[in-house]
Amino acid sequence: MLRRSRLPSLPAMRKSCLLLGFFALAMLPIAAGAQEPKSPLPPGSQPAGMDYAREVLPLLTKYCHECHGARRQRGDVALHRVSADGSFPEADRGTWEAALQMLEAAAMPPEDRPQPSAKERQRLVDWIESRLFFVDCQESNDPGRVTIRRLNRAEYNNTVRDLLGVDFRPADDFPSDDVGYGFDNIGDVLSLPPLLMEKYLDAAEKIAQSALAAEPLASAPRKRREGEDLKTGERSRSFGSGTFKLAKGDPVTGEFYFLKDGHYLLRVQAGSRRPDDEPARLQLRLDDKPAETFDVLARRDEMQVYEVQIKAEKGKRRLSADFINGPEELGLRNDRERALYVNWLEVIGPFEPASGPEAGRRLMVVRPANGRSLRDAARETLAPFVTRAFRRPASEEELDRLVGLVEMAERRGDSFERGLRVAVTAVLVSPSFLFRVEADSKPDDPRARRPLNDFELATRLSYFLWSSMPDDALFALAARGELHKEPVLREQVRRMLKDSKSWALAENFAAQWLNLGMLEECSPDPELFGSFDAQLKADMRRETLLFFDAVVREDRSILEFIDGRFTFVNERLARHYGLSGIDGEEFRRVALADEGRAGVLTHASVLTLTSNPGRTSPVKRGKWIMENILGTPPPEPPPDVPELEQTRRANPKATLRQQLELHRKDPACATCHRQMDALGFGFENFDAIGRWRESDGPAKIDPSGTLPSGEMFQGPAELVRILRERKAEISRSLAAKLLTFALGRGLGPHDRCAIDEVAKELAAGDYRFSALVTAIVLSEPFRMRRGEGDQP
Amino acid sequence: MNDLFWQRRTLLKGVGTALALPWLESLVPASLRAAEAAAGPPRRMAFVFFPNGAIMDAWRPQGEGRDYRLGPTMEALVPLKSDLILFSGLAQDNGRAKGDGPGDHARSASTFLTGAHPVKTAGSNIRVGVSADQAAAAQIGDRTKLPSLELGIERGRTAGSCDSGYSCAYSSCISWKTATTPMAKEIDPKLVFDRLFGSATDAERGRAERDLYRQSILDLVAEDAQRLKGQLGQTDRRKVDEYFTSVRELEQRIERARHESAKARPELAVPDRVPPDLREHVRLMFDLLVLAFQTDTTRIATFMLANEGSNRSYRMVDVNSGHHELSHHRNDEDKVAALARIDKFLVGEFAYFLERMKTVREGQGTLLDQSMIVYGGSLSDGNRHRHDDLPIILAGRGGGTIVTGRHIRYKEETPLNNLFVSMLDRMGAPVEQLGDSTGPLKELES
Repeated sequence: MLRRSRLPSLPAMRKSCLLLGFFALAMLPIAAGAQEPKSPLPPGSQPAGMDYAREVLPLLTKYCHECHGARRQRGDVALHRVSADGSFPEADRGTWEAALQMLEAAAMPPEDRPQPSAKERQRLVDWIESRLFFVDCQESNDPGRVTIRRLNRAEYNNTVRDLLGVDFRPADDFPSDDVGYGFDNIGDVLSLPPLLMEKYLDAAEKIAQSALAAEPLASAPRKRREGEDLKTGERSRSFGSGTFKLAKGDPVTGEFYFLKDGHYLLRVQAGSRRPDDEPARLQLRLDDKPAETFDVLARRDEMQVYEVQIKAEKGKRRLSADFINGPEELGLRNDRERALYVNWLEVIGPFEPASGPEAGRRLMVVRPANGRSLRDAARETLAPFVTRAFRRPASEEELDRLVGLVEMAERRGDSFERGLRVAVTAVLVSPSFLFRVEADSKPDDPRARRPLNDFELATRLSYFLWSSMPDDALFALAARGELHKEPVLREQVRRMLKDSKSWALAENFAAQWLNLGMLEECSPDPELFGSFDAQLKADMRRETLLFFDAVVREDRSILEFIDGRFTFVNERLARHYGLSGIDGEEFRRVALADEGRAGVLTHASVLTLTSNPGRTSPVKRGKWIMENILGTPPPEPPPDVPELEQTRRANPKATLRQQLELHRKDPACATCHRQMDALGFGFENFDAIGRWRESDGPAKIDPSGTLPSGEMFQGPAELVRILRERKAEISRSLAAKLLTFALGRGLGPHDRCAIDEVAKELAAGDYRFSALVTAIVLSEPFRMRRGEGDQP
Repeated sequence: MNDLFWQRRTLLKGVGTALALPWLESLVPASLRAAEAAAGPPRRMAFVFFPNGAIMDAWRPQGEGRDYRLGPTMEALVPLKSDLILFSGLAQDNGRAKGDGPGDHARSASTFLTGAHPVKTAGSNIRVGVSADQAAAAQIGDRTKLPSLELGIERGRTAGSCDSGYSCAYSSCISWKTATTPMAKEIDPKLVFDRLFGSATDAERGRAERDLYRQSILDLVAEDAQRLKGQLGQTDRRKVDEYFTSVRELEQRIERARHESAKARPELAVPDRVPPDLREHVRLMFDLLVLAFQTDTTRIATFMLANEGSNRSYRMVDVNSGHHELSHHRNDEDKVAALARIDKFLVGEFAYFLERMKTVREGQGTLLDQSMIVYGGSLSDGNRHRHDDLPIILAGRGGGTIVTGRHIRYKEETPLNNLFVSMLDRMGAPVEQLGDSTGPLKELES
C-alpha cells in the first residue's frame, strides 16, 4: 500500500493538536508535493488479508479507544464506529484520514500513553489505508489520464534550443507557470491566458527570424549530382525519369570536389517500397567509408531527403548510396520485393557549423531552383521541421496549409525566406507544438485504454528526462516502431540519463522536489549573516544540483541523497563550509571526511531554506524532512496558538530548545511535534545559513534526540544514519514525486500499484537511480493512457 | 511638469535610463478625444492588492462620515484625503475555510476580486470565480487596445505548494478571466511597456505587414485548434478552448489596431530588467499604469504589490524578517511595529500613484477624477487570518458619480463584492451579481 500523506482537510482532530506556533506559524508554506487524492472503497469489496476483529480491533481498543471511543471522544474524534466486517460510515472518512496521518507521523498516541510497537503501528496504518484507498493491484487496470500538457517555460526554452539551435531563452520573459502537486509541469494547472499567447507569438517571430538568419547552410556552396552525373554498376538500374533503383552492393555514385577541409552536409533524396516491416536501409559512403545509414521510410512517390553532417578533407571524393538490405539482383517486375529509389546526391559545404547542442539540426532551407518549384522547396524545408516540432510525422494537410503561407508571401511579392519565416512562426504557435498532444480515438470513454504510440512515448521520455523534445535517436526508434519494446526502453533510459541533457532533471525535478526555489525568497538577516549574498545563494543551489546530477549520471544509489559522502564546492562555498584548499569560482568534487556533513540534508541550500531570516527553525527542518524525504507530512498548523504565547511569556529567558520542550509538555502539542522537532534538533549544529556551529550564542548546542520510534542519536551524523535506513519510506516518497513529475499529473489511488511496483524494482536494483527511472518508464501509467471520465 | 515628475526622472537615471516627456496631448487617441467631446472621458478602474493583512489599529480611521481622521498608516494619504473613501465592515466571507481547513492566504488572494469560494486543490480542478476586473473586461474590454492589464511585483512561486494544498495560482493571481483561468500577471516593466506600446523594433519593421501575417498565422492555428479538439477529452478540450480564446483575443486586437491611426510611442525609458530596488520597481509599475490609463490603452487593471503569503523583507523600512512570517505576530510589539511600517510603506507608494493620476488633466478634472481605484487586501488581521472588516480604500470619483472624502462604516459582513458591483455599474459593465454580492453600495453617491 502506498504511504498516504497530505489530506485535503483535517477535521476535529486538529483542534487538539496545538502546534508550537512561534516556529510553526512562521513556516513558509512547504511543498505538499506528490500526494494522492482519495477514492472510496468500492462497495462490497473487502481488502484482502486482514481480519478486523482479530487483528485490528484489539489494537484500536488498546491504544485509541480510551480517548477516542464509545466513552469519550476527545477532540470530537471517535474511532469505535466500525462494524464487525471492518467497514465504517462514510461520514467518518475524514476522521480516519486524520487518524492515518497522525499514526504515520507518530503523532498519536500521545507520548504519555502506551505506544504501539512499530509492527503494530504499521498494521493499523495498513488497515486504515486499505479501508480508505483500497485498490486491488491484480484487478486494477487504470493507467490514469494525463491532461494535455502545455510546454512550461523550461521545456519551451529547451525545445526551441534543440529544434532550431536558438539559445536566447525566450521563455524567460513568459509569465510563471503555476505549480500543482509540487511541480510546474502539471497539465491540469498550466493555463494559457491571452498574455501568454501574445508572448508566444512574439517569441515565435523572433525565433523564426533568428533561425533563418543564422542558417549557416544558406550561403554555403551546394553541388547536386543527378541523372547522367551519377553512375552505377550493372545490377542497379536507372529510369528515364532520372530515378535509380538500387541493388545491394551496386551503389549509385557521384564525384564531388571538396573545396577545403571542413564541415559538409551529405544528402540523398530517396524513397522505398517495403512489403514487410523491415525498412529499406540506405548507406551513404564517402570514398567507400560508411558515413551514415538511414532507414528510408518515405515512399517512392514522396521521396525525402536524408542527410548527415561530416567533417571531410579537401579533394576530389566519391559519394555513394548503397541499398544494404536489398536484393543483389533486381527482379523484373516483383512488387513484393523491398526496393530503394534514389533521385540525387548532394554535398553542401564547407560551412561553419553553428555552435550549441544539435547545431546541425537547424532549419535546413531548400531553396526553389533549377526545376524545383517554390511549393516543393517550401515543402521540403518544412516537412522535416514540422515533424520534429510536432514530435510526430506531419500530415500532408498540415504541410499544405503551411506551404500556403509561403505562397501567400510570394504573391505579396515577399521573399521565399520571408514566407518561410511566416510558416515557421505558425508552427511555433500551433497547438501541436505548444501542447504535447496524445490524441485518442475515443477521448471520452474512460474504458478505452491504449498503449501510447511510439512518438508519444518518445515525447514522454524526452520531456521526463531532458525537459525537451526527442532527439534523432528517439525519433528514429519511434519511426521504426521499436521504441515501445522493453529492452529498447531500458537501453534508452540508460543512454538518456548519461547524456548531458539529463541536467534538466536536476534543474527541473530536483530543484522542485527539494524546494530549492524557496531559496529565492530567503533573505537572512544581514546583521547576523554578513557573509550571505546573492552569489553564495546561487552557489548553494548549484551545489545541490551538481550533487543530484552526479547521482543521476553515475547511477548511484538514491540513498546517497541522504548520506552521500561527497559534494561539490567552489572557493566561496568551501569557505562557508570551513573547507580549505579550494580556489576559484569553479565547482569541483570533494570527498566529505567530516562526520557532520553527508547528503542533501546537510547542504547549505536546504539548511537555509528551512530557516528563518534570523535563526534556525528546527520545526521547519523537521517538517521539510517529513514532507520531502519521508513522504509523511505532518498536519497543517492551526492559524493561531495562544498557548504558545503563554509558554514564551512565562519563560522569556529560555533557549529555543527549552521553550520547545516546555511547550511539548502539553501532550496536545507534543503529538504533532515529537517527530518534527526531534528531526530538526538533530541538525542544530548547522546555523541558519548552513554553517557548522558548536554553540548558539552563549548556549552550547545539544544535537541529541530520540525519535518517536525510540531510536536515539547524538548528532547529525547519527541521525543521518538512522534516516538512511528508512529505505521503504524514502523509496516510496521519491517514487511518488518522480512519477508525478514524469506524468505531469497528480497521482490517484489507482497509481498505488505502480508505486508499489516501482519501489520493489528500486530495491531490487540496489536503489540505483536508473532502476527508479526505468521502473517508472516501464510502469503502466507511463506507457498507457485511457479516455477521460470516471472509471466505472 | 510637476516636481514629482522630475524627481522621478532623476530617480530613473540611477538605473541608466532617461525619461522623455510622455504627457502629450498627441498621445491621446483621436477616438478618445472624439468620445470625450460627446460623452466625457471614459472611466477607468484599478485594483491594487497587498498581502498578509494589515495592522488594523494603525490603519483604521477615527470618526465616521466626512469628519474623520486618517490612521497613522495613512500618513501619506493626508493630502489626498478628499479623493478617498475609506471603508470599514466589508468582508470576503468566502475567504474563510468553510470546512476546507488551512489555506487562508490562498483563499485571500483568490477571493479578493471574485467573492467566490476556491476549490481546494493542488491542481486538477482549479476553480474560483470571475473577478471584478474581468467581469468589466468581458463587457467593455473591446473598446481599448488591451481589454485589461495585470501587473505584479513577484513572479508566481515555482517550488512547492503555496498554501496548505492550494495550487499556487490561487496565491499569485487576483484576476480570473473565467472561474478556471487565472490571468497571468506581468512583473517586468520593460515587457509591460512593450505590451502597451509595442517594442521599438515593431515600428521599424512595418507593423502593417507584420499584422497581416499575424492574422494569417492566427487563422491557421485557430483552425488547428478546432481540428484538434475532435481527438481530445473534455478537460483537454477546455485547455484547447483556452488556447482558442486567447488566439481570438489576439486577432481582435490586431483587427482593432488596424482601424487606429498609429499612435506615438511615449518615450518613457524603461530599464531592461526588473529593478532590484523594490520601491523603484513599484513606482515604475505605477507609472506604467498611469500611462496605460492616460493613453486609453486599457481602462481596467489589477496590480499585486506582492503575492499573497509573500515572505519578502522590506529593508527600506528596516524590516529584515519576512512579511508573512511577521504577520503571525501574536501581538509581539516589535513585530507589530515592523508590520505597521510595511503597511505604511505600501500605502505611501499608493499615494505616489494617486498623485500621478492627479497630475494628468482630463476633461474638466483629472485622470483620478475619472477613475475608481481600489487599494486593499482580503485579510484584515493577518495573525488570525480574519476575512472580515477588511482594509479597503477607494480613490477617485468615478467620473463624478462618487462622493469622496468620507469614511463609511458598513454593517459587519457586508460583502466586499457589493463595492465591485457598484463600480461595474459605473464602468458601464453592469452585472446582476458577482460572487456573493447582495446589491450595490448606495452610499457611494452621498
